[in-house]
Amino acid sequence: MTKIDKTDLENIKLIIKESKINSVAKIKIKKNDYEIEITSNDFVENNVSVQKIEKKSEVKEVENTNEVINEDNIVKSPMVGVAYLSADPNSQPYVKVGQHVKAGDTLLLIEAMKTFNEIKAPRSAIIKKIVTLNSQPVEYGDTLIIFE
Amino acid sequence: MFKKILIANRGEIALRVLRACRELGINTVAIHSDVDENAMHVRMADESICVGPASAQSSYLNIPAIITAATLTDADAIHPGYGFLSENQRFAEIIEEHNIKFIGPKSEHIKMMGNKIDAKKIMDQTGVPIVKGINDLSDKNKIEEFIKKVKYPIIVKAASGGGGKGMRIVTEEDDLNKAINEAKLEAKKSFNDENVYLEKFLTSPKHIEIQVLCDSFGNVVTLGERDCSIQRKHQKLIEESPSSVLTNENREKISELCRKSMKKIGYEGVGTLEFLYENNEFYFMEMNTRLQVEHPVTEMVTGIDLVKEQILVANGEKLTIKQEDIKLKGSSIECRINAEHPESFIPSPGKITQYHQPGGLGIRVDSAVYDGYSIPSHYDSMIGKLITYGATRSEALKKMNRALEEYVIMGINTNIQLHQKIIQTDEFKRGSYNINFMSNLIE
Repeated sequence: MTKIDKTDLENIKLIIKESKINSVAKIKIKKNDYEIEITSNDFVENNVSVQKIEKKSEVKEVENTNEVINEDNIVKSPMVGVAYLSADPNSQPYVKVGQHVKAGDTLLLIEAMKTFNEIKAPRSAIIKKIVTLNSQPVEYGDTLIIFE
Repeated sequence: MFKKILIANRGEIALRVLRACRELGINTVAIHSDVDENAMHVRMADESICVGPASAQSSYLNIPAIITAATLTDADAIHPGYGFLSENQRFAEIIEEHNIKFIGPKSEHIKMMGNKIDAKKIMDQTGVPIVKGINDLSDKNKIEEFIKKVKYPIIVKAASGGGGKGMRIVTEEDDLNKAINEAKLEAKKSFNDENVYLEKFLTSPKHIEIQVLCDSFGNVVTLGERDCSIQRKHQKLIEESPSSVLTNENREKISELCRKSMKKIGYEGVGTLEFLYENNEFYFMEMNTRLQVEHPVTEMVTGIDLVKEQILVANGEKLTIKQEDIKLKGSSIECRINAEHPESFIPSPGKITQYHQPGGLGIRVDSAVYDGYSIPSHYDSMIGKLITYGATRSEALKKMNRALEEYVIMGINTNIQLHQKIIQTDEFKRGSYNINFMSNLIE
C-alpha cells in the first residue's frame, strides 16, 4: 500500500488555490506515474469558456506537479523489505535532507530475506526529501528518497 | 523412543525433520511466526503453535516462547534444524534444564566449535591439519624455517584485523620484509595494534567437508565428503558428493583423522568438518555442530537417512552402521534454489503464481513452497533444494540439467537460470572448479 504523504496534500492545496475553485467534489490520487485529479462543481456551474480555462489550469497544475517530482529525481525501492536509514540503531543516518550525495553513495539499507542491500545514489544530487521512515516496511516501487 | 518432537525451524528443513519423524512414528509440533500461518511445515505437522510476530528475533529465535510451546505441547525433544538456534549453546542448555532433549551435540561442543580460534587449536591438538602459521616474527631464522616448510605464497595478517586491512600476499622472498612492514603500519593505523602474523596462503582451494555421525557410546563414522566450492559471498550454491578431485586414498586419510578427533573430544550427533583443499592437502576451517543444508547429497550416495540417524542417537541409541558398511555409490549434485534475481541477486519475495516441480528417477526436491504460496521477506531466500542422483557424475549432471529446465516457479525471480549457466561451464563439467569460481563467473 502506498501512503498519501505531505507532498500530495500540498499539491492538492496548490491546485485548488491556483484554479480558484470554491468547492471540491472529488479528489483522485493515482500513485504510479503520479497523477492527481480534482473535480469541482464550480467547473460545471460556470459558463463554458471559464470552464475551459479552469480545466486548462488544472491540467497545467498536474504537469507542474510532475515537474516538481520528476521521475529522475525519485529513488524507488527495487525490492520488498524493511528500510533502514542508518547502518545500525546507534549510528548517524546515511544521508540528511539538503545533503549533497555523489553517484554510488549509500542512501539507505533495505533488509530483505536476511540480506542488507545498500541502496545507492544513481547520480550525484541534493537530497530534497527522505520519504521512507526508519525500519518501515517498503514495497517494490515505493518512493524512498526525492532529489532536488 | 521420543513420543513428540518440536521442530524449532521453518521452511524445507522443518519439513525434512517432520518427514523423518513420521517414518519413526513420532508426533510433531511445528512452531511458526504469524506470517507463516499458512506455511507447509505448519500444515503438515500434528500440532502447531504460533511463537511470535514475523521478525525472526521475536519468533524463531525467541527462546522463552519456544520453550513455552514445548512445555505446553508436552514435547520430549526439540530439533533445531539448521540456522536459527541450531548452534546456540545457551538454547541447548536451557532445553536440557527443562528436561527436554536437544537433538544435537552437547552444549560444550557447540561452545567449543563456536569460537573459530579455539576450534582450530583443538583440531590441531587432535591431529586434524590446519592452515600453518607463525605468530612470533621476532626471530628471522624461525621465519625462514617456517617458509621453507610451507613455501610461498604467504599471507601477512593483522592479529586484530578484519576486512582485508593489514593484509599482504607475498609470492617471493624479496617482498617479504617490505610486506611485513607495510602490514604493520596499516594494522597500527587501522586497529592500533601493529602485531602481524604469517600464514600459508591458499590461492585456489576447494571447499571440501567431511560428514560425521557419532553416538553417545563413542562410536564414530564418517560418510564421505561434499564439495561445496561453488559459493557466492560465502553462501554455498551448489554441492556435490563425491568430489571429483579426491582420490580414495586422500578421502580415507582425512576421514580417519576426523574420526579420531571426534572420538577424542567425545562428540555426539551429526556434524561437519569444513576444510580448504589445495594440492592434495587439507586445511581445517571450522566445524558445524548441526545438520547441514547440503546433507541430502550425502544421503543419496550413502543411502543413509541422516536425520533419522540423528534422532536415534539423540534418543541414546547405539549406531548400527559400521564404517566398513558405508560405501559411496554413484554421484549426487544439489542446487540451492533461491528467490533472487539470477543476475542482480536482488531478493524476490512474493506470491508463487504457478509451480511445477521436476520429477522422475534420481530427482529429489526438498522444498516447502507450493502453488499460491507467498514467500515472506523476513527469512532466508533459499526456497528449496533440487538434488539429482546418477550412477556416474555425468549422469547426475544430465539429470540436473533436465530438472532445472523442467522446474517452473512463476511470480517471483529465482536463481534457476544462474544454476543452468554454472553447470554448463567446462570448469563445472570437469569438476575442477575452486572457491574463486563464482567471482570469476560474475566478473
